[in-house]
Amino acid sequence: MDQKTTIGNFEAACILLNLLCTKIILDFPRTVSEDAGTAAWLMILLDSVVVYILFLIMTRLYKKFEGNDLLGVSEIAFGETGRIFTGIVYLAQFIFITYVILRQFAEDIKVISLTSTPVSIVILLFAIGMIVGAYLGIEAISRLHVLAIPLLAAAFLLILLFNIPRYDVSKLSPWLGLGVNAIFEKGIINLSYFSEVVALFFLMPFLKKKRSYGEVGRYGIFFSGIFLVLSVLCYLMAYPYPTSTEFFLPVYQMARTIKIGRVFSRIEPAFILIWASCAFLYLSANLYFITYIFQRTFSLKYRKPLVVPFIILVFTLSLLPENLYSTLQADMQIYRTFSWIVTLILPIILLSVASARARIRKRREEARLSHD
Amino acid sequence: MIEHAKKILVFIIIISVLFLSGCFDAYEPDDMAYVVALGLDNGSDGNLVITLLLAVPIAVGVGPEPGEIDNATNVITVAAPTILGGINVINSLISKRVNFTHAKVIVISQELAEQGIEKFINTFIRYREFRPDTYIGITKGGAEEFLKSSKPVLEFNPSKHFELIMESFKYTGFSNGSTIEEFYSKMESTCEETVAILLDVSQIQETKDLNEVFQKLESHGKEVLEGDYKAENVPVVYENKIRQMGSAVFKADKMVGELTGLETFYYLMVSGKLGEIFYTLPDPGSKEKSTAESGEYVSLRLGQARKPQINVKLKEDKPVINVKVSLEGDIMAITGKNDYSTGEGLKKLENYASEYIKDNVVSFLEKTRDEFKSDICSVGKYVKRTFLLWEDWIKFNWPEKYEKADFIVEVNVKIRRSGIMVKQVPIIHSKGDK
Repeated sequence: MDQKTTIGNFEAACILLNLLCTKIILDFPRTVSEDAGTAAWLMILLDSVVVYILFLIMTRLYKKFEGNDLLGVSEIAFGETGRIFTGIVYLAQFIFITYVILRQFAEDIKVISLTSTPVSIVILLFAIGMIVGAYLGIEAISRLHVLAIPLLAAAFLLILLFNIPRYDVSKLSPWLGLGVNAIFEKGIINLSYFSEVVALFFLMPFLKKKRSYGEVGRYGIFFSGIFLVLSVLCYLMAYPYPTSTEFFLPVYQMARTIKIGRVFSRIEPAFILIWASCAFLYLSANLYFITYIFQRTFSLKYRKPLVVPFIILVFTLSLLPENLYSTLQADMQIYRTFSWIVTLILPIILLSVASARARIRKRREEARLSHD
Repeated sequence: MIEHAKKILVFIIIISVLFLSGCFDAYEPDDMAYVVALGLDNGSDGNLVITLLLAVPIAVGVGPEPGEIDNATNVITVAAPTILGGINVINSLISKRVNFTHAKVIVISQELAEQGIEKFINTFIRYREFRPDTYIGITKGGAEEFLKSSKPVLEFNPSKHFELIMESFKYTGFSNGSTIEEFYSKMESTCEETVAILLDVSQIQETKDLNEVFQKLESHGKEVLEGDYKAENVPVVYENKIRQMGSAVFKADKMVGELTGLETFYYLMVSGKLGEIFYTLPDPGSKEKSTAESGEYVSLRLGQARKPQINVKLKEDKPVINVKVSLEGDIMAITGKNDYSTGEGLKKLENYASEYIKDNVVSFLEKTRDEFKSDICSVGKYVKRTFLLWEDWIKFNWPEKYEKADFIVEVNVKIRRSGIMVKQVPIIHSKGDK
């Protein structure tokens, strides 16, 4: 039933943009400044360029498999076993990041707003939103993204604009921060910040114009690159290193300092709405991808019955970390270290093998035809 | 039927979400005791003496009757090892829960400031109820005494009262408007040091007490102008005894000295934070030896024409700091017999003002170097710009280099207007000397 669903390019680009940029309102600007110091913005700029190039390579390789998602490609490459293996890998990746981000969002809301509410209740509130989103499917999720993303982007830009009086370019110096080695070494690991780009390959079957997936990805990566670099650049111009490594939620901290006259201050509660919206969109989309990948991996007929079991799994996993620090550690030490391999390198390998296989098969068929 | 049941279920879930979100964190503003100012003093046995100036919302909201303005606030003091521990004690005593979301100023005693205040600032930055724009001040006397002496006269809203006082630096130049976020950021910075607002309680009761203040003042042979005071000795007789003038200078988290009101003006000028202020200087044409004797002054309204230009060159490991300040202003008053509104007179006043301010800025910068050894004007950031790697910058050790710095200051004052008079005809010209 889902396969009849189609979404437009802009809708797909909005999903991709939200998936890639949601981390900005979490701890992204802080963690990258820990990695590269004052040159964190430069590291993310380089990462954006690398991901853009990698995506161009993937697009080129994908040409032969338009309309297939990544599981379809892995089936072409390694048969059914390949599809199941790839499916399990991506399922694990999506489940991991979903429960980590779910817990992070819940902890954030608890720290900045619902201080007395038990974290399980906050997670439950998000979980209800996720169920609704995932149950209604990718069409509903994508349309909601189209409505929300321009507003969320504008709100984010407003935070950056209102902070202009606090910006000081000299806070970005020393210009190479913790050094060229740190930029490159940490830069490779931080490619993981773009790992959500893989979602585009699962959106492929739903695209109205299947040929324009490259355009969707390019725009998505380009704009998310701009937003990611801007967020780090502005944060570092407002908070000098090493103070920049201390704040739990950098963008919230920036929103807290906005003061325009005596009347227009304390505007951060309005931004809690933005954070919650971003979280709902991100988590709903992720839960959808989890159920979709599971359905495709094991060739199930229905997807919707998977929503509740998976939300129970994600909910339970999100309560496993002992505290906020453990959650952040799980994100930093496990996900960020390895996910770039799974999401940027594995697709290239799968596509290369599938291309080679397809080419061999074609040659064999041509040989058979000429032999006949 | 099943479809209907599903719709009802979804509806119930959505409605319950709306109500669930507020249950645990619901509180009535009426149940809160809003802190306007917090004071910290050194206590005995390792305790802190924490003083809270609480707003009394009913008095503020309704508006007091004449003579009842004191009722708008209430002071409570507690001794505890930590700030939030003390708040806990207070919470158990008063009928409301202490809330810092409307706190406007944090006052710390000089005794504590000299020991280092990193441990307290950490609480203010970490605890979300404290706003980043809360002002931070240091008082020579006790913080408790300061808050108890606060008796707003012209403003019955205590919160607005403190906010307006602390913001006045924008049009007086006698204070610095340091907030906890700015303080913290500079305290941790590797290229600059921080300042706080200098506060105190005045002991002056009557006009005759002013003579004592003037006698104590060390003028070093120079004229004493209106900003040559610190908060403790501002020559003012006023019902509200709290005073704000000057700056508390820090090196890292420890207070190392004080600036007068005028020195704070020069600090704002070099740091690029100067608003528009009234500035008095001796009459350039005065023939008397002492300006105090002649009483001939020129009052200008000065502001920044553009941001100060600072560049630093290293000569044999010794920084040579070039500071170029451009100011513009209006003539507001001339008390002498000479007119400086136009032509040569105007040029003379501009040149004199430039030289006069330059000499004072150099003295101020030398004081930060020799006495405080603290780069409060953030000159270090111009040096930091020349570095590529963090490691090299840290090895360079800017605080140590600043102690050897040389200053080359250029001040350019341009008088744009002369008030609503184009010239001044001294009475001596029309009615003669007698």
